[in-house]
Amino acid sequence: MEELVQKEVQTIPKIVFENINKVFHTRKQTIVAVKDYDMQVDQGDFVSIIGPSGCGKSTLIRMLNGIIQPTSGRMLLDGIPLDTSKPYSQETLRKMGFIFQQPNMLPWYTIRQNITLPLKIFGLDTPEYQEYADELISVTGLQKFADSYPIEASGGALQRAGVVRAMVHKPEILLMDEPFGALDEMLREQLNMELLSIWKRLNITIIFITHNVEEAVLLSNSIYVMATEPGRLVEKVDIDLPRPRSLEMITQPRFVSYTQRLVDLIGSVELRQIK
Amino acid sequence: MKKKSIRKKKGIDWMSIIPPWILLAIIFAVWEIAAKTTGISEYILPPMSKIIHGVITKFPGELLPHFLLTVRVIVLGFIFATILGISLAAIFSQFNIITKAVTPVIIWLVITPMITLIPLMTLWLGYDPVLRTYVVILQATPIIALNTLNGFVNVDNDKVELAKSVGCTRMQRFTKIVFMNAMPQVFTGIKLGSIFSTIAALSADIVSGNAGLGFKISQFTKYNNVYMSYGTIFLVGLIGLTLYKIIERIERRVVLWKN
Amino acid sequence: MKLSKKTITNILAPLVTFLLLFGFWEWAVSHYQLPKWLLPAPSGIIQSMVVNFNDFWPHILITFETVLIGFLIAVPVGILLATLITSNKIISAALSPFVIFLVTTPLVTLIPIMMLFMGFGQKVRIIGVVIQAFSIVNMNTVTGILNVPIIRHELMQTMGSNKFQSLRHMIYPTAIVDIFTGVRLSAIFATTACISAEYVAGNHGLGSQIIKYSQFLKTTESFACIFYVTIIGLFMYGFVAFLQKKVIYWKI
Repeated sequence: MEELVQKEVQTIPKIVFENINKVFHTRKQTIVAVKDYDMQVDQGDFVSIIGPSGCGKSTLIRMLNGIIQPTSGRMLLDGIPLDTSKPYSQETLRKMGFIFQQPNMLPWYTIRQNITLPLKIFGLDTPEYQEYADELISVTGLQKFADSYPIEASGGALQRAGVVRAMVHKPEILLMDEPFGALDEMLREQLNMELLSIWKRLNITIIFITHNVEEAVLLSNSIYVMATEPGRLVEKVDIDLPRPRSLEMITQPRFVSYTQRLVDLIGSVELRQIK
Repeated sequence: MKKKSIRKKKGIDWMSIIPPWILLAIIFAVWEIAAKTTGISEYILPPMSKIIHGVITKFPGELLPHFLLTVRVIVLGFIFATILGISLAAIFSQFNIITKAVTPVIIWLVITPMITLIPLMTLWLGYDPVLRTYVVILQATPIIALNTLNGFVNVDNDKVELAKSVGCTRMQRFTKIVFMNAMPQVFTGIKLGSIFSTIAALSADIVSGNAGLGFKISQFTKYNNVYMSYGTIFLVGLIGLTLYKIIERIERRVVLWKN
Repeated sequence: MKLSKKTITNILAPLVTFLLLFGFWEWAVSHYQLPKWLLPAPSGIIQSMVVNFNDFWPHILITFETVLIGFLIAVPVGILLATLITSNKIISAALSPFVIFLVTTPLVTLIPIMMLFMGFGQKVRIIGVVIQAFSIVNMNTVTGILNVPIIRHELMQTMGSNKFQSLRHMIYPTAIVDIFTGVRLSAIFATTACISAEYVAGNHGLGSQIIKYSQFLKTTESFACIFYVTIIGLFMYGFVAFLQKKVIYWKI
């Protein structure tokens, strides 16, 4: 009996997008940013959304995080529909951590103050959480920057700090908006591997936005491919590669066939647009 | 059909136009009702209808010459101050040492309320209406020069070096790189200059006056025509606002890269 | 204390300029034998500033007090009002032309009317200073708050931060440079407004003394008062610059 309940709980997807639409009205025109989007993400899953710029991929996670509201459709978190008619409660927001494309640090706070800002805002400023913050800082090798101001730290350190800031309140879901896109290749690979180890350790659910095909294949369990005008889902590709993954896999034939397939998909999507 | 939709695309941003007018209507209505029901003396709070009616009836005859004088003082002084301020800043910025030497002097001039000089200038020049234009120039030039100089000096050095390396002359470097890059600050200075011009012109009117809108305001007040004082003040505000908006328009045309 | 070469030029260059300026003025007055009532020499003005100090002092005090009190009221009022205006899209759309209107209308023109029902006291002058000085703080603060990058708003939104937390942790620090620009300008506006008010109203403060002395052709004393006004202005300006350095401790 108990086992059955356990199983029941596990089958409820962590995140559900149901027929989500987002239309922007600007002064000059109407843009359909997202059209009829469906997606299901399980607890502990690592999902990437990939597509050309302007396909509405970051709009999707912004909607999930309550930064912008969908025009129509439903989003469910742990099987419970999110009420998008008003700002989310902090209880809901605490389940998520958002990582921006830029570090988005506040220059008047030290790296540590930036990282622990969510604790202040969420009202979690307890010794336990502070300790957890310190742990995250040392795990990510940020100790030597912790008391410097953002302007004194390197781009890589800042982006790491952005990841730590999104995790400091122990969220269940990480929403990552092309988090390492602005960094150089070496650093990007390194941070991707760090991310995978954190993901495995914390059993956290991740939605990762990127336009880099290799990165998406390396990290994810499944990849959602999107196209522009209107922003829509084209295909879901499951990545059946063993874990733990490593950078050496990138040159293996199976990996290459996945990347090739995705490149073809995105390429054909873009070809379709030209017509 | 298609043409219509294009026109709509170019369209007007109603969200930024309608609310101010609604608010204006509310202010007028509340003012009118307050004036008529609260029993506050008409010398303090004359009804809005009386103010507007007064300005409209007295504008063509009694107010127009003063209006024209004040507008002329503001516009002439402002234009002269803009040219002078920018030219001075352009010259000063050519030499680092001069920039350092004159900046405190400019700040000193910005801080000095030039209206303190009006009684003395009256002494020197008599009740010459040109005096007011001088006051405007004196008050507006330093603030324009200060902001412009700031802009000229803080231009990204890499860009200047780049221009040097491709063989731009000193003149080209200044007009094409330094001046264009400093444009936002130049316009900040010009906008402030327009505000300083209006304030200086009106203060000059009040102090030295036998003419001008500032003079009319104190005269109306003296003879207990407070409703006309208010009306004239609104008129002055409109002059300032129009000048500011014109500059903003020009700025939007010129500074294209700044959204 | 070590003085670098740069600091020495920074101090020396303006000093030389001021000396040249006053030197030329002094020379011109004696060379063209200008009468004192027309244009006094700087030496005479400084002498008057010292000798007649006891006559000037109460007026300096009153002007300084009016400027300072008015300024200290105007700055928080301006910032608070700007915060309210920018808190809502429709309110900000409705009010933004009025914000500019307030700045571009020389509110000193209201002083004669205010004197009608408030008399000639210092209160009228303080109010005059407040209405002239708050508007520029207000305008610059509105600009600063509206220019906050969207991405920072989004950051605060992801934490479900309330209005006060956003203001404290993000909005005010982001807008602080613009706010200080407004505060610095408002220090200038306050001085100008105070002098205008003193011109029109009564016989207190340096403004009234400037009028009085020039009416009696005592130009030297008049200039001495103008110099004291300048000193008050410089003090205010320096005070704001000092505050800015203390408040904005981070590099931008």
